Amino acid sequence: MDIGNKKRLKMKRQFEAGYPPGYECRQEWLAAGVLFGMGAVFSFHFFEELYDAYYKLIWIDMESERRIVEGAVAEPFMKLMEGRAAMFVPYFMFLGIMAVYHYFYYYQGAKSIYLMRRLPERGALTRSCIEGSLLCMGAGAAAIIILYLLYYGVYLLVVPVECLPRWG
Amino acid sequence: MLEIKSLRKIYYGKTGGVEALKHVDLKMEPGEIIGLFGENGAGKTTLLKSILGFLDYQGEILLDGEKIDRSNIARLSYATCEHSFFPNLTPEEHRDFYKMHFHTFRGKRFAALMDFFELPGKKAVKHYSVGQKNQFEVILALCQGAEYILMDEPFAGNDVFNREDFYKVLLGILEPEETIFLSTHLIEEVEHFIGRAVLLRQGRIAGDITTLELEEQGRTLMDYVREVWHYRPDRVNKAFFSYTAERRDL
Repeated sequence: MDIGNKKRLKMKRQFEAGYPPGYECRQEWLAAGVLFGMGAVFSFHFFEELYDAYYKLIWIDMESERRIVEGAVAEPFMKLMEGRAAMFVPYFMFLGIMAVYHYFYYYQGAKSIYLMRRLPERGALTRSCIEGSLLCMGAGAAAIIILYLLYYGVYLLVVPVECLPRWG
Repeated sequence: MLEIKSLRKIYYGKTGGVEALKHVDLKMEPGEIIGLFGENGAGKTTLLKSILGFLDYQGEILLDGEKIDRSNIARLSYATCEHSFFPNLTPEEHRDFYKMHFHTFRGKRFAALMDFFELPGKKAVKHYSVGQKNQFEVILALCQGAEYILMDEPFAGNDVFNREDFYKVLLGILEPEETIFLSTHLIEEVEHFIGRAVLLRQGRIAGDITTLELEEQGRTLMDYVREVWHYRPDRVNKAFFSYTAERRDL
């Protein structure tokens, strides 16, 4: 096995260590990915809102030139994003439910809970139930922040400087 | 030494409490092989689970004078007919997991036992037969590197030859400081394997005797168990007689 493969395997094992041993996490990741994707797709609606907000700021004169409406102020960014974050709630709820499910996984097919409960390492059982879910929640939260930053960048590019509201 | 002092366990239900263990006192010295016997519901599993800390109880359980907690729990291992392995992992993955969590894991013993019982090392344990699963469960308990190995009906589902093999292997591999506490119904079968028999009846220790004492008294373990349990062999005949009499009256 080459070094790259070994490293990848080690990383995979480290990540899977946050789940119950032998737990098939790929299906969980797939389902979580789909839920996150749905939230992300819904957030694209931002562009439609931005389009509407932009055309409230301008008017087109006789020579088909775009002119800014005098004194017009754009809708604040956060107003345009209002309610978008709610579409990511199913993603976080799913991961929370899965953390509980991980505990009951130890009762499936055998009572491996007996082994987990007598491990000398403090918190090993709790960690195996929640760590993976928490990591995914963290990754999801980071992805949402990046997505929002990207949207904010687009907002700054589209909205004329003189129309930007005082508090973004 | 594993010491149980006045152990009491009550299961609470809707209809009130059921006392599963009634002030049990027991001492286990290093190196002993002890059989734990009792009818269904006598409290055998409750006793083992209490020792391992899976259940709340009243009384004291001490390991060399210390309470059993995370600092010394690795000195105990457990094999159960309910199986405590991870069904989706292969034996090799179990070995790695145990090595990671139990620094005293006996890798050579593990390899030797896997080889002896011809268990496939790369197959997920869920694909094993019931007998193989039992074997693997016991192998893990024996290889954890624990000093006190608790077993709860570990051979349920194994054929007699298989069990015989296991007793022989156990006697061959155990080190002087390793203690076995084996709960089983196979009284006659384990008689020559154990050194001491503890009998539980309705949550109390009803008998505690070494096999040496039994030998000296010229009794078998089964005789002793019958005596302690007040077993009445004519019970079945009486029951049949009253049943057939009832049918004759009809």
